[in-house]
Amino acid sequence: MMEVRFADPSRATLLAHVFASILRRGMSDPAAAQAVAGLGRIGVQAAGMKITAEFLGDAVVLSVGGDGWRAWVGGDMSDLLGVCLSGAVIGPWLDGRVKWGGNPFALLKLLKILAAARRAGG
Amino acid sequence: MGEEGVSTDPALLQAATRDYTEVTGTRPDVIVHPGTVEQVQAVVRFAAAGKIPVTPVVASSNVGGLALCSRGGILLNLSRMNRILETREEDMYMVVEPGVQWGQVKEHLERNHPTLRYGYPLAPPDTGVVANALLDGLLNLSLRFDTNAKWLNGVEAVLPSGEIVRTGAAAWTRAQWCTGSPMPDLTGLFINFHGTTGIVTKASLRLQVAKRIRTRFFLMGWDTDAAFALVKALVREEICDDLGVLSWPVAKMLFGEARPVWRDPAEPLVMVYADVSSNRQKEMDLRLEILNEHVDASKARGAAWQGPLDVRDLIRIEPRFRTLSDFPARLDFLLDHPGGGLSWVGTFGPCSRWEEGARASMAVMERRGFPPIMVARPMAGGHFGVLRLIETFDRTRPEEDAAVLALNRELVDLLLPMGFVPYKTPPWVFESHASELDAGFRSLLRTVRTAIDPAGILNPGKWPV
Repeated sequence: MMEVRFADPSRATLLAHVFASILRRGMSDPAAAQAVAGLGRIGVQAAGMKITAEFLGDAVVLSVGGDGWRAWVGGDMSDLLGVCLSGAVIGPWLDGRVKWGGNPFALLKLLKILAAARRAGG
Repeated sequence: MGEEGVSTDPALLQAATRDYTEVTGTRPDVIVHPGTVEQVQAVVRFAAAGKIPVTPVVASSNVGGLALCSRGGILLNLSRMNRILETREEDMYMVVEPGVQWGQVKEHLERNHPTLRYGYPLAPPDTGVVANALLDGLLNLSLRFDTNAKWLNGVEAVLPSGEIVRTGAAAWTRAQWCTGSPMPDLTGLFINFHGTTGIVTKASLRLQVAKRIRTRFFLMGWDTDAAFALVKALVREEICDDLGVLSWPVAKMLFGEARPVWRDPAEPLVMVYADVSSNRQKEMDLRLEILNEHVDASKARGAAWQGPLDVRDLIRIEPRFRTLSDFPARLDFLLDHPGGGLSWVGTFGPCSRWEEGARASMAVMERRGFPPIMVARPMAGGHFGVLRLIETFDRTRPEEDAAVLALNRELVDLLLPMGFVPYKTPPWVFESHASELDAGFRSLLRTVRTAIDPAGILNPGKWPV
């Protein structure tokens, strides 16, 4: 199983904790974990907070801030949590509640992790 | 009492010298587990004859040293007296023994009397209901129905003489125990006296109407003053069962951070939670609409909010949120850490000074290197509020004990002049602030206690006035 860890555990934001929790459950699905292995740097922005999730071959490293993302997703915390919980992306994107940028195929792979997290009880 | 009722096991006696906090008690000489009122009477009479201290306990999980012996003697563990003696559904009260636990009450009501509910504290299910009531504990319905002591219709207590007294309507021997009125309030002789006036062996407790639909919401905010303003506004709408403001470290601790002292400036400063319940969906919808109106109004005034987030959704994101979804609850994020220490300064005070008190207290905690864990809750329809500052620490390290004690002393020094009065008050508060207690109050308290317990055998060292 791919490890999810913080680059600096003493400096983890609430957004990083939330995302780490979702990733850990999603990564328990080997197929989903395989899909995002080596995905690169993905940014998440919510409510003014910004984190980078760097998908390596055997781990995901979360850090506060960052740039140079391959892709990013952002929105209100409640809207992003809504996407995580429901899997419904199109509606929130069409009405502007969820924004994204960069490589869309990278984000599609990320959706597999969210789906796996939902199946695992998240 | 039999062998099972008495213990002199050195390990148990030693374990009884500590609770979760930095406070240390003395080792009891013996731990006694009475099973009946007659056995309590016998123990108390024996102790009175020999002027032996008696310290009553149930779960021994209270913080602040109140359930620790100050001068050895008998640790009277009432946990075997754990029967729910009667529940009167129509008259909405139950009579319980002192060892009855929160989890037991909840299971009993849900299974046998689902139209009724009790309030529950932020405490583990295996802790005592009566002890909480006698210490004026906080419930998740205390915003509507006041602190737990106000739910008492009366008590039965064994006095230091061995005599039994019944207060409230049950003072009339043929009356039902459904009210404390219209009797003189002698129940008050046992509330907040920290076990120094009698051993309570039964209590009649009010029950409330259960609601079929219940939800809990969390809001994340970036403005502490706006959070307090929102809570105060919601209090006056009378639509919530419970409301609270939690400072930012709480959320991080729920996610497993042991001691968060760093906060990204972009992170939320506070979480506000709101409990809403009803028996009708229409009423529920209206309550939620009013709640959302206030959140929108706060946003319109410039405050940033995220949410309301339904706790059931938060649990799906992080199962550890379950500990904040339903009370009673063991807050493992406060207890399960190296050294297992937990202490706090909890106060009752004016909601008008919440902002000032919270800001100043959290600054002191941060200056001393502690996560600024703050909980504020309005009580009794908003007539007063709780402001509570919490510390986790390693009890095995004396330097951490000392740091917590120094912090707690500074917090009390800071908050008392603002009108925040410590509840479940540790003895050191009286020692360091004795001069601030009204002289007439101290004199009357001494007179009452001396009249009831002339030998001073009951929980000596507590309320040292």
